[in-house]
Amino acid sequence: MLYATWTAALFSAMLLSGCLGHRSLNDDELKSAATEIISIASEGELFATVAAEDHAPAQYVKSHPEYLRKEATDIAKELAQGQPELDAKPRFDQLRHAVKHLVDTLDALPASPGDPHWQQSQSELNDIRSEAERIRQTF
Amino acid sequence: MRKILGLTLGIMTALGGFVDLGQIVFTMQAGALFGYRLLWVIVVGTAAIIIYMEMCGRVAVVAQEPVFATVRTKLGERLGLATLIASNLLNLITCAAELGGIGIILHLLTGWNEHLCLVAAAVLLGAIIAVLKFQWIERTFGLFGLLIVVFALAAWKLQPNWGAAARGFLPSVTAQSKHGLLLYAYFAVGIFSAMLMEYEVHFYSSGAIEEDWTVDDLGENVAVAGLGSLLGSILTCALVAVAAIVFLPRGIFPDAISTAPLPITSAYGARAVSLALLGCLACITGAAVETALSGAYNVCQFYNLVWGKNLKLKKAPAFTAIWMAMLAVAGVIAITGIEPLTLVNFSIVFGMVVMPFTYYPILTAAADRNIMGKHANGKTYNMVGWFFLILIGVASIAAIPLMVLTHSGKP
Repeated sequence: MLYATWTAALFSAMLLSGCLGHRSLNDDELKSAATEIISIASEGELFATVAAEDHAPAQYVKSHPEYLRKEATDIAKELAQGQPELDAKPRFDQLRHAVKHLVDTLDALPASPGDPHWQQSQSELNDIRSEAERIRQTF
Repeated sequence: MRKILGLTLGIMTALGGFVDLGQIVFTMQAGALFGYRLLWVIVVGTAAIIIYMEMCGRVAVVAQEPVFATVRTKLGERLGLATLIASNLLNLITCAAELGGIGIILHLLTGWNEHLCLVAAAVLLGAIIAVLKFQWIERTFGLFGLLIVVFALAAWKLQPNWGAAARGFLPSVTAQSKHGLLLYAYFAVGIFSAMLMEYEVHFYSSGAIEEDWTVDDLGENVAVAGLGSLLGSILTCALVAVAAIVFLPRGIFPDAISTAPLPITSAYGARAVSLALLGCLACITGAAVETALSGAYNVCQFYNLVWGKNLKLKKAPAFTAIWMAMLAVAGVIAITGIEPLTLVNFSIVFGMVVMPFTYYPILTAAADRNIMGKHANGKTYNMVGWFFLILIGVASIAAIPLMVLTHSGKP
C-alpha cells in the first residue's frame, strides 16, 4: 500500500513538472547552450562569406540555412522550456536574447549567392557570436 | 581488370561502412573539437577492421560460412538469436538514418521536398537492388562513392599542419576539464565503433560468397579488405583534417550533414561543393544498401534459408522479402521526422555494445583448425585478433556510460 502511494505521488510529481513544462537548467547546461549559439553563429558567418563571394551552388545557398535555423530554433525552445538557477537569471535572459537574435538573423538571410545583403548578415552573425562568447565566459 | 573490379567489394564495404552519414558528421565533430588528436583512433580502427574483414572473408571462402552462420554455430541458438535481433535492429536504424541523410542531401542538391526525396530514394534503391546483380551493385556504389575523394583533395589544398597531424597518430590526452576528457573518450569510442560497424562484416562475408570466391582468391581477400579499408581510412582522416582546419579555429561544431561540404568551398568553390554532396550521397546510399541487404543476409544465414542477390527474386523469397521490408520500414522510420543524426548516434553507441557478439564468433571460427584446416589463424595473427577483441570489449563497456555522461557528445 505504502509502495503504491509513493508510486502515485512520484508519478503525480512527474506529471505536474511535465505539465508546468519548466526544467531547471544549471550553469553547465547554459554554458553548453552558449557554445551551441557560438557554433551556429560562427557557421552562419562562414556560410555568409562563402555565399557573398558566390563560392557555393545556388540551391545549397538557399537550402542550408533551413538546417541552421532548425538548430537555432531547437536551442531557443530548450531555453524557453527551461528555468535558470536563481543567480543565473540575468545571463539566462541574455542567452535567450542572443538566440532570438540568431533565429531572426537566420530567418532574414538572402536566398541567392552574391546578394549584397550577405555582408550585413555576416556582420550581425559576428556580433551574435561575440555576444555569446562574452556570456559563455561568465559561466 | 577483373581483379581491379574485384576491389570494388572492399571499396563499397569500406566507404559505405565507415564513411557513412554517422562517420562523416562524427569524425568532423571530432576534428572540430580536438583537431588531429584523434587520428590514432582511425589507425587502430583500420587495423582492427582489416584483420576482421579478412578473417570473415576467409571463413566465408574456406568454410562456406558467412557471419551469421558462424554466430549461430559459435554462440548457440539463444545467444545467437539475441545477437541477430540486436544486429538487425541496428541495421534497420542505420538504414533509416542513411535514408534520412539521402533525403537531406537530395534536398540540398535539388531543392525538392526532403520527405519526397527520401521516399523516392527508398523506392529507387529498392528497384536498383532488385534489378542489379551483386557485382554491379558493388561496382556502382563503390566507384560512385569515390567522389568523396574531393574531401581528401580539399584537405591537401587547405594545407594541414603536418606536424600536428603526425602527432595525432600517437594517443595523447590533454583535455582541460573533466567534460573535455569524457568528450575525448566518447569520440574515440564513437570513431572506433563507426569504423567497425557490424554490417560491414555481414556484407563483406556475404559478398565473398556471392562472388563465388574460392581458396585461390584468398590473396584477393587480403588485398580487397586491406586496400578498401585503407582507402576508407584515408578519407576518414581527410574529414578530420578539413574539420580541424576550417571548423576548429572558428568554434564551429558541425551538427548536420549539410555543414559537411562547407570546408570544400574554402578550397575549391561552388562546383566542388556539388561534388562533395554527390560523394556524401554515394557513400550514404551505399550504406543504406549494405544495411538493407545485411538484414536479409543475417536472417537467412541464421535460419539456413536460401539467400543470394544473384538468385532470381522468387528463388530466394524470404531474402527478397526481408531486404524489401528493411527498406520499407527504414523509410517509414525516417519519414516520421526523427533526426537522422540522433538515429546514427544511437546506432554507433549501441552497435559498439553488440559488437563483441559478432566479432568473437568470427575470431574463434577463423582460428578453428577443424573448420579452417591449414587456413586457420596462426598464433601471432590470433593474438592480434584477441588484442582487438579485448579493445572492442572495453569500448563496448564504456560506450553507454560515455554517451550518458557527455549527453551524446555535446561540447
